[in-house]
Formats: sequence, C-alpha cells, structure tokens
Amino acid sequence: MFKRLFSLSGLVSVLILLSAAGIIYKNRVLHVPLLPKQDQDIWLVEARISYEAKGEPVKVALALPGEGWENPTEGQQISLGYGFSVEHEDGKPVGFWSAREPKNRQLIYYRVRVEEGTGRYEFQQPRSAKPPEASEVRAKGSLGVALEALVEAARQRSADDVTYVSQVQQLLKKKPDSGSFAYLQRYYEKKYPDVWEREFAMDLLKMADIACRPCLGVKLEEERGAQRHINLIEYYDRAENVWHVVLPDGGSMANIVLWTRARSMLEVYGGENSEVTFTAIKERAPAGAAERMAQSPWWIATISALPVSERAPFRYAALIPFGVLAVVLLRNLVGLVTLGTFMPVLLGLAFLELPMSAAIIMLLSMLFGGLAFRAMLSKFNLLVVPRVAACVVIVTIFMMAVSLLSYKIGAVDGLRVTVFPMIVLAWTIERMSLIWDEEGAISAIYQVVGSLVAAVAAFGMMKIEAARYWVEYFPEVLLILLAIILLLGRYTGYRLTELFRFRSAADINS
Amino acid sequence: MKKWWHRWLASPVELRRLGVIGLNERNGKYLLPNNQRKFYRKVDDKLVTKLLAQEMDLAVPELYHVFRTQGELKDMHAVLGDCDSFVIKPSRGSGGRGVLVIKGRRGDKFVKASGVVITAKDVVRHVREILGGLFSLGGSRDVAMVEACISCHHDLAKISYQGAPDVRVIMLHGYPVMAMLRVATRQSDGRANLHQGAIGIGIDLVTGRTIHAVHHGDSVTRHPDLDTELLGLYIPGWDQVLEMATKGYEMTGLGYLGADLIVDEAHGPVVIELNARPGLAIQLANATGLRHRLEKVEQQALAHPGVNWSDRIKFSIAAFGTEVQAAEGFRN
Repeated sequence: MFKRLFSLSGLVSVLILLSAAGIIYKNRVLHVPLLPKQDQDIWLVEARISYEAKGEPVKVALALPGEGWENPTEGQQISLGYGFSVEHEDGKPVGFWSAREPKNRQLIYYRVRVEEGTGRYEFQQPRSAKPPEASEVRAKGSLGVALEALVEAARQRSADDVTYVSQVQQLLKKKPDSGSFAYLQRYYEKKYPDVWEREFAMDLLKMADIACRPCLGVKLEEERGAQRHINLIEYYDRAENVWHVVLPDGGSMANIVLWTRARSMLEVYGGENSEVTFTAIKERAPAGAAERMAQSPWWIATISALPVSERAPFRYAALIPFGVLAVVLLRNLVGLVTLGTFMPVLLGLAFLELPMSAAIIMLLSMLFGGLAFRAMLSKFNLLVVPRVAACVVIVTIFMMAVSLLSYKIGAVDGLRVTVFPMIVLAWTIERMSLIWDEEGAISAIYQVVGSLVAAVAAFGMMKIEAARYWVEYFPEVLLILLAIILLLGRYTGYRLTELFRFRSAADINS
Repeated sequence: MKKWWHRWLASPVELRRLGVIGLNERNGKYLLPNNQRKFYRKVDDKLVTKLLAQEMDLAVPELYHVFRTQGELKDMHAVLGDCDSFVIKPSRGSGGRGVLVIKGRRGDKFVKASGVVITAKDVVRHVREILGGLFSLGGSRDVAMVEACISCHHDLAKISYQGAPDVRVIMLHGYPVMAMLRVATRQSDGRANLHQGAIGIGIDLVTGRTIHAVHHGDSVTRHPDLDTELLGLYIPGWDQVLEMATKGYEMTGLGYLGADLIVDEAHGPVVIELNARPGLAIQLANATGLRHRLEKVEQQALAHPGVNWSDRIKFSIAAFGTEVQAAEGFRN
C-alpha cells in the first residue's frame, strides 16, 4: 500500500507544506489568531457606488461616516483611475472621487470598520450656536386639517418633545384604520414614494415646532447582503439641547449605525443611474490583523482583498469543501448510502439558513408529497425527462404552498423554503421512487435517512465556527482538506457497514 | 472465540485475516487500476456484448430482433411471427430492470414467466418504454432487444423459485477467481440480486459443485420457498462455463470482470451479460475471502503475462480447488 501511496504522498506533502507556510506566516507575522475571538464584534461596512459613465469628466460625492460611532477608524477606498479626497461640508466629511473620462459601468468601494455597540445616537447642540428652529409646513385645506388633528392628538398625549416624538412614531407604526390617516398616507406615498414615512413624521414634528432633519444609517446585518441605506430622522430636543437620531416608526436602533448626518448620501456629476448599496459583514479577526491582511499581496490576502460585497458569497461557498469532506467520510469510511452523491451537501447548505427542525420537517413533507405525486404519475408511464420536469413543477408548487401556509399560521421559517434546491429535490424524489419500486420501501427510506444523516453531518461541518473562520482568514486550510480527501481516495480498508455486512464471516473459530 | 458483538459486527482484524475485501479495496486496488473506462461500453451495452461474444464464438441467446425506433413497432407482429417464447430487454438496463420474459401464447395473448397473461398492446408499450429510456440509467434513449428465451437446465431450475438461476464467475486478469450460483426466491421476485433476497451459492472451481449457500447474509442449506437441497449439486457443463467466462477477458480487455451465464437445457451454457463492477457478496456465498486469491492471480499475471485461456483455467483450478478452499474457507 505504501508503494502505491508514494506518488500521491509527494503531492500531499506539497499541499500540506504550502498550507502550513501560509498559516504560519499569517499567524506569526500578521498576528492573525488561529481561532476566532468571540469577545469583540467588528463590522466591516462597505459602500458600493455604481453608475454609468457618459464619457465626460465625472465627480462623485459620497457622504462619509464621521460622528456615527465612537472612535471612527479611517476608511479605505477602492477605485481604479480616480483621484480621491476628503472634504468637510458643515463639519461633515464627504469623499470626492474624480476622473477625466471613465467609460461604461463604474464601481467604487469605500469601507470602514465599526465596533459593535459604539453607535452614537445623540448629539449635543453647540452652546454657541443659536437653537435650531423648525421650518414651516405648508399644508392647506383638508390636508392641513387632517395633519392638525393628528398633531393635536399627539400633543394631548405627550409631555415634552421626546414623548411627542414617540407618539408620532407609534402612529406611524400602528397606521390606525381611520379615514384621515389613510388619506394622509396616500398623500405622502404619492408625493414621497420611497421616504413617505420619514416625510410624514417630519411634517408632524415640524408642526409641533420641533426642529428635525433627515439623516442616513446602515443596518449591521449579514443576512441582508447588499442593502440600501436606512432613512433616519434626527430631531432637536429643546429641553436637553441635544439632537436624537431615531427611526420614523420608532423601530429598534440596536443594529443600525448612523452613517451620516448629511441630507444626501450620493451625488454623481457626469454619470447616470447611480446607486449606492451597503454590505455589512462581521469581521471575525481582530481589526488590526484583518487590516494587515487586507493590505497584503493578493496571494496572502486572498478573499480579504476582495470588496466586501464580493467577499460575502465566498464565506459561504468556501464552506462547501467542509461539507463535501463530511460526505466522503460518511460514504467511504462509514459506508452510508445516500440518494445522489453530493445532494446531502446542498441540503446541508439549506440547513445553514434555516433552523434544523423546521428544515427537516419542510424537506420531508416536500419529499413525501412529491413521492405521492410521483406515484400517481407512474401510472401514465411518462418518459424520464418530462417526468422529472413535472416533479420540478410540483416541488415548486409545494414550496409556494409551504410558504403560504406558514405565513398564514405565522411560522416565519416556512417563508424561506426556497433555500432548498428545487432541481435537486425533484431528482431526489425520482431516485427515491425508483428505489422504492425496485428494492422496496425499506430500502428507499433507509437511503433517505442516510441522506439526512449525511446532510446533518455536512451541516455540522459547515457550521463549525472555526471552519467558517479558517476559510475566511486561512483559506490555505482548503489545501489541507484537499490533501485529506486525496488520501481518503486511496483508503482501501473496510467501511463500517461492511463490518456488519460480513459479520457472518467472523462466525468461525480460530 | 465468539464474542457477543459478533452477532452484529466482525472486527476489521478478523475480516483482514479471512481475506474478505470491501468495496474500497475492490475499487481502489482491483477495479480502477485494471478496468479502463473506454472498455466499459463493451459490457454496459448488452447489444455490444452480444455481438462481441458472437465474434468470439461464445454461445449467447439467439437475437431475434432489435427495435431501435418507435416507428418499427408497427412491424411487431411480423417480427415475433409465431415465436412462442422470447425475452425483451433494454440494451442498457441494469439490475434486471425492464426484462420481459414471455413463456408462451394463449390465442392472441402472451403468457409471462410468472403466468400472468398480457395483450400484444402491453408488449408494444413495454418496448416503447424501453426505447424512451425508462429503464436505462439517467433516462437516456435505449434500444430494445428481442432474444430467445433460455430454458434453464432442469437440475438448476428445480432449486429456483421462478427465474432462471445464473452462474457468476469473477475474474482477475482473465483468471477465474471465484464463482457462485444465484437463485431466485419468492422474495427476490424472479431476480438474481442477492440484496433483493436471492440466494447465493458458492461453487467449487474444479468440479462445479455447490458448496455453501447464503440467504440475506446467513448460511442456509435448503431453499426457503421450495425446500430443495442447495448443496452438493453439480453445475451442468461446468468446464464450458469456465471456458466461456474466461474468454470474456479476451473479449473485453477488462482486468476485473464478472461473467453471468445461464445453462440452457439443450444448448448448454450461454453468456447473458458481463459486468465490470461485480459485487462482493460472492465472498459470503463461498464462505471465502477474495483477497488471497486476487493476490495470487496478481503475482501470477505479473510473472507470466499473455497466458492463454486454457492455461489460466489450469492455474486457477490448481490454485483454488476444493482442498485449498477447505483450508482457507471460513466455515466447514
């Protein structure tokens, strides 16, 4: 056996050496810890500006974060062929990118690190400055009357500015069923399509003589992926002489950071269809180490060198090898039988997105529902491809049904049923029904259970916090994984299930 | 020294000593190094196998017709003529799927092996399904073969519950290594797959005598449905069986190969199909591990390449005869 291993062992040692070199360098020189540190939460927030250049000189202005949190770190901009400078307008930092003749679709990134829990939502009005005054609201006729009525009602139920604002927020959250509110809501929705709540709330504040202005925030949430900014309001509390930053509908500010107190986020001169989106991911390594890594050459930095929005999918995709390893172990060492070789990995990925019990219930109900339908189809003797295609349609309909049903009964997990790969489910149903016909129900169920066990194992592998950390900061680990899988490919010993299968062989006496 | 856990498991150490090989070992050491993928077509497509076998003058069930397109189906009556018994099977089916055995006629209708009577329309539909790929892997299009129905030798037919028993011979580098007879039971529904409940009966390579039998992994001596004696039977035409199986190596070039044959009452052994991935249950049927034999053959093939089929059989008979078997077997 060792002789056969020889040619492979060279490759395996090269892989392990390369990987070890990378890991040691990062750990010793860049001081990236080998295991994730749980005690601090650093978010990496990235603004991604995109626009179509028209072939003329371009100037892009993006409001930069300044006062939104304690100890703001300096941001990093990534762009090709742009001059970059930071200027202050009314004391608020704004980043300017300029270029002579950019062409086609352009991308600019700007990212900062934010420590969780350091967000600031209150700002002292400088004593020297004159207290701000609320601008006048021009509302005439029935509009004015309706607004007045709401203002009066809120004023009745409040004692000061802060309680008045919370009355307004509650009003916007509950959206009462009254005719006048519905009328106002329609009016504001029409006039300010995307920001009607903010404008509505601000008008109600202004009419109570509370000074207020819009500002912009970002939500710290990995699941959201690329998001637009959050519309916030800051209002002036006359009693305390401070500005408070709040959501128009009074929602929790817990994971929202104020990006800028400026009125506008992005302005692009010389381009069109401009847009800014934000991606926030949790940095699992200490800020300093992560910074050093991101600035290393690309073969060291690997995915840290990528813009955050492109990096996020990798943190997910790079976990797949761990799931695959679990399947290799279960199939070749344990001898588990599964429906489709790597189908369990795809299921495992779905499990990552949903609570396990909900995922398994949904999966089984779809499998057996599909199987019942498939049994019906088998009467028609359809050819394979149309038959599986029919299964895909049925699985899709089931997904909709599961989603609707769980929405109606208020089970939110069910809404995300689409994380299951449809085509894989359809093929699984097809294979399962073939096995059911040929080898009986027991064999089919045995294989489904085997697949579930493998899926849970793959999920377990991919769920390991250290694994997620390694693929992000030590992607070299994948080389070690490769080496392990190559070695397993040469394993010619027994599988665990074979010890059972050949048990009668041991009946002899020796 | 039988331990309590032997009821459930054998230890790897014991299995190793007995020379039992597992799937990983079969694949890694024998199958992958010796079977070139380009030759797989020769065994995975039964029509190709049949044509190759005929070129080598190996007896195969007579091929009546091949249906290749749906359009040919209207000639069904002309093709079948007044043929009483025949078998329709997909060329690339596996595990006995899609095989329709017609034993006789009743007026316009056909009688299946199980006694069920079906109409000509049913037969046409079956062929249509085969052509559409209902029974082939991945659902790819297939052709349907109509061939002569083998009437199994009465010595063997009497120990099988429906379905003809077939003999499987496993070869490495063209040396017969081990053989077994597979007989159907009520549970296996006429099929010869052991994991579906068929009985595997080990065969002595020298004499063709049945020596040991397993059903679902447990030793048996009598057929569970028919209560006939399974052991001590001689396979009719055993020398021919070995010869034909062994020539399968020249025919396919596959180093690790299984040959399935049925012994016909009138014509003796015929090759049914060849298999590039024969299973491991044969070890239990023979109560003998494969490893010692495979290693012996490996050495022999390395030392003397290009040995003709008769010398290979001589070597195997000398090396793996009953006396050897008794010594290396795991049961008496």
